[in-house]
Amino acid sequence: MTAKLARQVEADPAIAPLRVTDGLVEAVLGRLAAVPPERGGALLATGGLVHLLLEDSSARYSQSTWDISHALSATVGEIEAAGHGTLAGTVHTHPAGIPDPSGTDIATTGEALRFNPHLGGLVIAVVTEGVPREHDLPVGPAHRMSLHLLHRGPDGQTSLARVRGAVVPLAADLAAAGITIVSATSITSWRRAGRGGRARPRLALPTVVALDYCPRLAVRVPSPRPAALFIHPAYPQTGPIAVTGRQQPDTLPALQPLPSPWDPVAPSRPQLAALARAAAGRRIPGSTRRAWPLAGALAGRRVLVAGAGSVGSRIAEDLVRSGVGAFTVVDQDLVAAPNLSRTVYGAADIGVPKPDALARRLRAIDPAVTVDRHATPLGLTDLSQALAGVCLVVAATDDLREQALLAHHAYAAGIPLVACALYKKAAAGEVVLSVPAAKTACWWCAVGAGTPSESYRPDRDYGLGGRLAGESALGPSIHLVACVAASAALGLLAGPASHAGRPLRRLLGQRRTLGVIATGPGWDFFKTVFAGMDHQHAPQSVWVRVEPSGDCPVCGAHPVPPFDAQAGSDIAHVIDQFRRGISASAPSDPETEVRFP
Amino acid sequence: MSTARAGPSPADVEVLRHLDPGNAESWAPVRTGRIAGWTFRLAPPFAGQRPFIFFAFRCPSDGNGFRIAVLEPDMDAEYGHARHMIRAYIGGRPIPVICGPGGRPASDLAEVRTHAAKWMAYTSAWLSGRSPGFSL
Repeated sequence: MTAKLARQVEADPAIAPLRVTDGLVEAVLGRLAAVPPERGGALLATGGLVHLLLEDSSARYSQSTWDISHALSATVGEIEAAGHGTLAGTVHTHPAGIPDPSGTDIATTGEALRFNPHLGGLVIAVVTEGVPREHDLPVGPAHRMSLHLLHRGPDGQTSLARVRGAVVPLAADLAAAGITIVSATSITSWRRAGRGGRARPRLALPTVVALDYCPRLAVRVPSPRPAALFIHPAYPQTGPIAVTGRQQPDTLPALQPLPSPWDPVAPSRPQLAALARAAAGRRIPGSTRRAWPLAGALAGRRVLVAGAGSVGSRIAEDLVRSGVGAFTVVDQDLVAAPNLSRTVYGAADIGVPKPDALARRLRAIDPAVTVDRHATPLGLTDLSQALAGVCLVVAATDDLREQALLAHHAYAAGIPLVACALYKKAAAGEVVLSVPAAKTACWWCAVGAGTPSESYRPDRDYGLGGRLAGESALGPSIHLVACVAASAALGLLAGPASHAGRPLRRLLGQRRTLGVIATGPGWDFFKTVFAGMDHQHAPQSVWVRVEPSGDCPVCGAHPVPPFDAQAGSDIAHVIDQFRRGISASAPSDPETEVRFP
Repeated sequence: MSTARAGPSPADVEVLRHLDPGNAESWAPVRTGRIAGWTFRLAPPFAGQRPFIFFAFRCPSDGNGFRIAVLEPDMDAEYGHARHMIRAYIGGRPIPVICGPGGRPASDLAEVRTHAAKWMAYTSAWLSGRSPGFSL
C-alpha cells in the first residue's frame, strides 16, 4: 500500500464503533509502530471484536510502501480454518502526517472485498505518529490509529467511512486474573509453529467457539484441569462464561458451563478474576485475590453441611465469607417460598434443590469454592464417603434421627461437629459442640432422646402450625442461634490459637458443650437463671456441662461403630427370611449369643 | 438407656424374666455379623388374625436404643400413615420401624413391648374394620 492519497474522512455516526482489544493495541504498538514505517498486517476478529494481529513478516516494505505478501492471504486462511478468528481488515503504519488511508489502500482493500464476497466490509486501520484526533485511538504515547471501514452497500458499490474506535480492556482484565491472551503473531511464527507434524509447538492463540450461534473467544485458564473462559464479543457489557471439565484419555475434554454471574454495571476486572477462579477451581497465582478477613487460611478446609435450610444455609454463608474453600451439602428438599423468610435463598431459587441453590449462593460469594452436592436423604447418603476429607460437620437438619446418625458417623471418624437446632417458634435454640479429639460428649449424650432438650423441639416448621412466614422476627431469631453455631464452627476450623477459637478453649475444657440460646427475654428456665438481673435482655445464653456417658455407644468407653451397608443388608435378610417362613440362618457368635430362658 | 453391648445381653434377659416369665411371647435372640436383637410375637386382640411378630434390634446411632421392625403382618407400605411407624435408615437402607413419640427408639425391652403392643392394638383394630378408639 502506498501513502500518497491521504484524505480526511468524517466518522459516520451510523456505524457502530469498532471494538478492538487492548492487547491488539499493544501488539500494534510493539510490532508495527515501534519500527519505522511502513509495517503492516491483517486484523482478525471474533463477532465484531478485533483481537488478533497477523504481522506480514513476508512483505516488502519501504518508507512509504507496504507490498502485501501473498503469504499473508494464505496465512489468514489457515488461521481462519484453525478457528482463531475471521478476517476483519488490515492495519499498517504511515509516515507522519498521513493519518488516513491512501487511494492505493482503498483500491487494494476493495480488491480484497471483491475476492471475498461473503464479507460485508473490511477495516483499514492506519497508524501514524501524532496526537490522536477525534475518533482516533491512541497507540502508546506518540502514535494514533485511525479506523476506516470500506463496506459494501445495497447496490454492491463500496464506500469508505471513518469509524470510531473503542478499546476493550480484555487483556488487562485477564492479566489481573493471571491469564495471558495472545494478541499477535506473524507469518514467520505461524509457519514455524506449523512445522514438525503433530508434535509441532502450538501457538497459544485464543480459539473461537460458537455458543448458541454466537461466536465467543475461548481463553484457556491455567489450571490442572481443563478450564476456560468463553469471552463474549460484547465484553465487558456481556460477561464471559466459565467452563470446566474433566480430561479424558484420548479424547477432547468434556466441558461443562459453570454458573457465571455478571453485573454489567460493576467493574469487570474482579468479576472476570472470580470467574477464572471458578473455572480453575482454585486461586490462580498472580490473580487478584480476595481478602480473607477473619479466620485465616481456611481455603483448604472442607465442611459438610447437613441440612441446607434456615440454619445450615446461614452457617455455610458465614463460613464461605470467612474463606472456607470446600463444602459438601446434603439436603433432599427443594427451596420453597417459606424458606425465603429465613434463609439465604432468593426468589429465583424456588423449586431448585437446596444443595444446588446453596452452591449457587456460595459461588456468588466466592466463585472458587468447591461444593459437592447430595440431594438425597441423609440416611441414604454414603456417609463414610461423604465424610472423607471433611474437617468439620455442621449438623443442621430438622430430623433428630438424621442428626443422631450423622453425629455418630462424625464422632467415629474423629471429625468435630457443630449441631444447631431451634426450639418452638425460635424462642430459643441449641448449639452442640462435639470434638472427639477433646473427648467431649457426643451429640446424643448432649441432646439425644430422653434429654431435656428433646422436649423443647418442635415437630416441624418451628411449631408454627403450617403458617408460612411465621412470626415477624422468626428469621432474625433463627439467625441469632445460627450465628452462634457459625462462630463456633469457625473457631473449631481455625484452631484454639485463632481469634475465633480462643473463646472455645474454656467451653471445651469445662465440657460446656451444650449452648442454649434464648432469642427473647424470659424464656423458660432463663427466668430463673437471670432472675433479678434487669439489665439482661435478649439474646441470652447458658452453656451446660455435658459429660460423656460411660456406656454410650458413641463416646463411651466401648464405642460401637455406626451401622454400615452390611448391617442394612443383615436387617433386610432377617426380615426377608422371617417373612419367607424360614428362621434367620445367619451365623451366630457362640460367645455372645444369649439363650432364653 | 444405653448399654455398651450392642446385642442380646444378660441385662435383656433379666428384663425378660420379669416381663414374660413363661416366654409366652416366644422371645428369641437373633444375631448376625452386625445386628443383634430379639424376635417376639404378640397375640392380637381381635380374633381371626395371626400373631404379630416383631424384630427389635439395638441401634448404636440412636443411643443404643431398640428399633422395632414388624415381621408379620407386612405393613411396610403403611409406614407413612402413622406417626409411630417411621423409616429408619440402617446402613443406607430404609427400614420401616415402630417408634415412640417423635421417632424415639425404645430404651429397653419393656419399652419395646409397650410400643409394639400399642401399635398392634391399633393396627389389629384397623385391620378388622373397627375404630381403634385411640390415636397413635
